Order: sequence, then structure tokens, then C-alpha cells
Amino acid sequence: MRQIAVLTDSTSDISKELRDEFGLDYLKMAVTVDGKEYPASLDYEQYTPSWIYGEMRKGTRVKTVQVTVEEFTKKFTEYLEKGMDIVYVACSSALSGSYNTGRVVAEELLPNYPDAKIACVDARNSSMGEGFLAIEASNLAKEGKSVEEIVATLENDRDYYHQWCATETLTYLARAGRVAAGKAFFGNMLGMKPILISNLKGENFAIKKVRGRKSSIEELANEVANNIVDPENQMIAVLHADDESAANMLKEAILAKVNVKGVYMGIIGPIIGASVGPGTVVAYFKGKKLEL
Amino acid sequence: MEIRKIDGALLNDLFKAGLGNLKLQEQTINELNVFPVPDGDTGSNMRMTVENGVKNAPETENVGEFATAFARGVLLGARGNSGVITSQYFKGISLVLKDHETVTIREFADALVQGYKTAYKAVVTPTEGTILTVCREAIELTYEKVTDDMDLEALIKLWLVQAKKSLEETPEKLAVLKEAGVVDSGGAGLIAIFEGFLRYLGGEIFETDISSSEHGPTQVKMVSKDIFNADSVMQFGYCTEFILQLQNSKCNPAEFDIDEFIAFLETIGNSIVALKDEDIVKVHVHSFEPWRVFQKAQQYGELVTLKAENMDIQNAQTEAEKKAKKAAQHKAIAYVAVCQGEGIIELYKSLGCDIVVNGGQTMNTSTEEFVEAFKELNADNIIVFPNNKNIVMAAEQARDIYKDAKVHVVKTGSVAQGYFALSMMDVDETDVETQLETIQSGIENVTTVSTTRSIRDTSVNGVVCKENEPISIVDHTLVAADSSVIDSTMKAIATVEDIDDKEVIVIFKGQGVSEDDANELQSVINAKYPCAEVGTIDGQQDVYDFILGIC
Repeated sequence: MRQIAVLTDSTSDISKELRDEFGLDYLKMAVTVDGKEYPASLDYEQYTPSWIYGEMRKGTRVKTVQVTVEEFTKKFTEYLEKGMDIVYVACSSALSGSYNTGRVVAEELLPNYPDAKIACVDARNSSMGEGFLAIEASNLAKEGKSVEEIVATLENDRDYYHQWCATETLTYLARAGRVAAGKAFFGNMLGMKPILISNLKGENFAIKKVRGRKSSIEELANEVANNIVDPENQMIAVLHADDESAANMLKEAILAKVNVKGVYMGIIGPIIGASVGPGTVVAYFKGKKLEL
Repeated sequence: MEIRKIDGALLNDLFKAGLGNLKLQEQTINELNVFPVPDGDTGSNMRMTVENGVKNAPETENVGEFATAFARGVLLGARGNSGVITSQYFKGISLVLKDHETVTIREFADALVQGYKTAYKAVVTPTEGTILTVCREAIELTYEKVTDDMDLEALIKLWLVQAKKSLEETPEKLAVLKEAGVVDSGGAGLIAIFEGFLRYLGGEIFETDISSSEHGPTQVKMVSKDIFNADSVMQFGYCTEFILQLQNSKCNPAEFDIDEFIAFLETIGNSIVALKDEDIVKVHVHSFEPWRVFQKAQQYGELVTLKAENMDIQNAQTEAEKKAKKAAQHKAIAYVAVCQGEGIIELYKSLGCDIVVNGGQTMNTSTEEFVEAFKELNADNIIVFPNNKNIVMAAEQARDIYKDAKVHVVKTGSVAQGYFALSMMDVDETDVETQLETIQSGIENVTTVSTTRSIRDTSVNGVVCKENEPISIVDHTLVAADSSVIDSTMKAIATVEDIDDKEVIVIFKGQGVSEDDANELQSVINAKYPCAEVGTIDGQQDVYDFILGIC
């Protein structure tokens, strides 16, 4: 039986530790800061997260580049050559074109590998929402599930991964065209924190706003508690964009309300970070089926 | 003159005189201010309140008819708490007079009794030592002395003696008055009105200003037959204006008597403004016979410019425009706020307020202004942000009068509270109960710190301040004074309960301070309260150098 490689991309914000633990690889996107392009590495070899968020705070425009055809061709070929099938867990197609590019490249390559399969799955989520789906894929592959079985499970389970995110502002998301929000979320609103979920379509959806940092963190913890299912048996993720103390506060607030198996603490990577902006804090977990 | 019967025409003259005397004392009354904050506008508020009654009063001999219409006008013009109480006082008076052709002095005294009773009822928790006490005690102590052959002048004189005594005692009844060393301003205003009555009865005549709005040049428009046609009956006449060059060939320009000319205009028109400057005469008059106005003018010279506009058409057009505009904008919920300062007004508009009425501390919005604002809207519900405790009553009166929408007055006590309430809500929400809940949660726990300048040397709550010195108020209590605006503000912030746990501090920068001052305040706050997120908005308000919303 052919082995299955599970790939994801730079938006999954999945740490080296987790990638090693679950045998995952990822396709690199890129960021341009002040016109200069850098690979969107999740291991930060060329710059620190603080540097990139610092630039954003200074007003430097940070743009993102989706996974290129070249990157897809290189990585897909690498695993196909090893005789493996591929499951690519892609960033929400509502946020990135990578999912589509991946499918196009797969169709280009597959005629050369008649026995191989490449499945691209739209995570309809990003960051660790996407990361958790990739971990699930890896576990299914280990259990010996087929590519088709894995895809079917992921396409069902993606409706159960929750994102509860508080940003400083919607300015970055709006500028990047990556948010669905009514006009209630714009304008001069000092101290107001928009709360974003990832909806069934995989869009960042501004669902409410909360006044003040502490209150917004408390609100996120409440939503985790209200929506989580089977907390004792799952790891959840808390990530931040250059605001570690907020992430720690959120972790403590969640633990005060629910007994989870554990919390992966992490950093929102450069791609998602460029969209949500510095000061963002977010929790990902598996819970009730999404309603929106 | 001995008067034992009061009719509508007399009451009209009395109120004109009352207004005239109130105007003379307006400034003095404004200065009778308990609080060192320059919101000393009781005189102006009462003047504008009574003025609206006089302006809208009908020419009628019937005292009941007059009093009812007058009281209605006063109610619509009511500004500030004293204004609102005054309007209720006159309403009470009108309740007694309403079914009478004329009244006796005793009946008039009965009306004054009903006046204070109605005024008391209008206030949720009546405070003694205010205009309420003055209007009550004045007639209580006078009433037993009223005789059947007493004339009006004697009644008013007695009333004034008691009223002044009562006014002098107000500081004994209200500690804030005593501390500030002043008597109650509303009571003083009421006395000024009654003094005007007495001066009229003594034979004095007060000039009443005739003001008119300036009309700019109007665009020539095609007149629709719907507006004015063969069957129309003219209602408003012509707005007639001209500039007359007096001619030596026709008269002696130096001797041309403008008052005589005005007297003529009064026979055929109203809203008269007429001025003479050397040999030029400028006239504005509303008349049904403009040709007679021009004809008369030509007896003295030639017209340099002239125009006569059909005001029925003007009126119909503005009404039609208003209507069309209104129909286009039906909303489930519309928002009206009272704010002062260009930056703040812009901010409120950007957050979804449909109408921002310019007003606040020194210019209390009247009931009528609220009603006018409501009329411009086409909504099932109207939510009002008064942003000042002195405006709440006027807003609530407007709410009670207005029938075309359900009006909700939320109790925002400052522009900062209003700002937080607005920024919490979603303008697209259509369920009014949900929206009101959101707004309420936005107001809760918001503390307002305002810094202004003391208008005189004084001491309040043990805080001693010099004239023009920065003083800071937390919500409604003066807590700090300092020679520096920054230090005064910081002292006040330090007194806010649980200040170290506060998350957001918004600074509205006023006109009176520089950008550097605002930056300095922000960085000082940042350094002292690192947990709070601090931001500055250029509010451009007057009176307050800084207004801070803390929550």
C-alpha cells in the first residue's frame, strides 16, 4: 500500500515541534515587507516575528504571496518521486488562492505518475484551524485510511473547528480584503476589539465587538467554554501576534473555565499576521458544528 | 392703572414686558451659577423659553385661548431645567385660565397656585431652594392677602415681595448655593418676568426685537401647478424686500422718518425689518400687498433693488423637499445626539448618528429643537443621546409630545458616554430592544473626567479654585484644581474608582488646548496607567479643554 504524505502551508501556523511529531510538511508562501520578499517560514530563520509586527506597527505595508506554482511543483514532485500519495490541507480558499493553484499543479503532475493520488482539501479555516485539520489527516493516514477516506473525513470535520479571535482593529484585514464585516466594525472605535470567527465558508467573519483588552480575552474564553465539545480529550491552540501576555491571559482564562487536555501555545505566522495585524490573540479548538 | 379683569390682550402685553425685563437681566442671571463650570446659561435658557411663547402667542382678547397657546409655545421652546420647569409653571396657569373669557385677580391668584403645583409634578424629585420653592412660596404667602377689590398691580407687588424673600432664602435650603455664595438662578429669572409685569403696569413700554431670517437669493424654479394654481388661496403672502435711495427731488432724506414708515408697514404686513443709513433705506416685510409697499417707498425716492417672492410657493417647495427626503430614508431605528465641537460632531456622524444637534453645556437643546429634529426623520424608533444631564428633561418632553415615532431617551451624561455607547452598537441592528440593551451596556461603567476653567474664585466640595484656573470634574463632581490643565486632569483621573483596572481611556481634545498638551496628557496617562489603552480624538469642543471617557 502506498504511503500518504500530509502537506499544509504557511498559513497553518504549525510549529516545528508539531510538524515533527505528526510528520507534516508545509508549502511556503512569502511576504513582502517594504517591497522586499522573504519566505514565509514558520521557523523564522531570516527574521523574528517581532520585527515583522514592529514594521506593521510603524505603518510599513506587509503583503503576502500565495504558494507559487514552482513551490507546489517542487514539493509535490519530491513526495511523488518517493512513491507517496499526497493530501494537501490548504488555507481557506476564501482567504488564499493556494488551494486552487495546488489543484492545477496536481493535475499537471499526475499524468506522469499513473498510480499516484493528490488530494487538495480546502480547510475553510486558517492558522491552527487549518493546522488541526492537517494533524487529523496525519493521524488518519497512520491509521491506514485511504486518501478518499481521509478527504471525506476532513471535509466533514472542517465544519467543527472553531476560531475565536480578537484583533486590535479590522484595518489590516479590510485592507487585505480578508474579512466579512458590517459597517458597525469600522470607524473610530478606540478600545473596541472586533471578535472574528471563521465561518462555514471559511471567511473571517466579524461577529461582535467587545470593549477593552481584558474583556475581549474574557469573551474569547467564554466562547471557548460555550462551544467546545469533549475538552478533556483534546489539545487546543492559543496563538498571538506579538502579544504573548495576551496569549497567556487567554490560556489562563480558558483553563479557569474548561478542563482541556492541553494547550499548544504559538505565534501567528507572517501570512496570517499580515492580515490580522499585531496585537491579535486567537483560540482554535474542535467543538459544536458551526452555525454560521 | 387699576386692573381688576385680565383678558388675553393684557396677558400678552404682560408677557412681552416680562420677556423684555428678563432680557435686561439675562446676563446677570447667567452669572448666578452654582458651579464654577461655565454652564451659566439659566438666564439665556429662560429668555429663549419665554420668547418662544411670546413669538407664538395669538392676538386674542380671550384669556383662556391666549394662555393655552402661550403655554404651548413656552413648552416647545423650553431649554434647560429651569426652562422646562418654567414651561410647566405656565402650563399650570393656563389650566386654570383656559375656560375663561377674562379672569378676576382672585382667579389669577388661583392660576398662580396651580402653576407651582403643575411645576412640582413635572420634577421627579423636587429640590427645595430652587425656582420651585420661589414660585410656591411667593403665592402661598400672598394668597391669604388677596381681597375682592384688589387690583393686579397690588397682587404682583405682594407676590414680588414674597418671591424675593423666598429667593434670598434659597441658599439656606440648598447647600451648593450657599457654598458658591449665590441665590438660585431659575428663581431669579422668574422674578425678572414678574418685575416686567410690574414695570408694564407702571406704564413702561418694552421694545421687542423683530428678528427675521435672512433669505439668500433664490434660484428661479419652474413652479408646479400642484403648488400654486387657479384655485389656490394665498396663505403666507409675499416676502418683500427692497433698497430705497431717498431722492432730494421727492423728500428731504435727512428728515425721512423711518419710524413713521415702519408704522405704515405694520398696517399691511409683519416680520418687519427696516433700517435707514443716511439716504439709503433697507426694508424687509411680509405682506399680501407688496405693490403698496413699493408704491409708498416710491413717494420718497427710487428703488435700487427690489423683490417680492410668493411665500406659499417657497413654503410648499421646502415642505415638499423635506417630505421627499424623509420618504426616501425610512429606518427601523434612527439616532439623534446632542454634541458640541466639530470633531465630536463628525465622529458621531461617522458612527451612525442621523442627526447631531449642535448644543450642550452652554446651549441647552430645547424641546422644540428635538421635535424639529425628529420631524426630519422617518423612522419607527428614534434613540436620543442627550449627552448632558441638563438636556435629558427637554428630550423627554419632546419624546412625550412626538407621536410619529417611538422615541427612546438613553441617559448619556457626556459625549464620552455617548461615544462608548455608539461604538458598542451595530447601526444596522433593527430590533430596538436589543439595541437599547447594547447601548446601555456601552454606557455602564463609563466615567467622565472633564477639565475646564473656573469662571470665578470659588470653593466647591472643599476644592478651592481661582478664576480662570483649570478645574476637573469627575462625572458631576468637582474634584481637582491646578494651575496646569494636565495636572488638574491627572489629579481627577487618580480619584476614579478602580482606575488601575480600567481598560480604555479616550481623550477628547478641546479648542482651548494645543496638540502638544494633548500628546503630553496621553503620554502621562500611558506611563501612569499602563493597563489602559489610551487614544486621543480632536473633538474641538469649547468650554472643556479635555473630556475623558474612562472604562
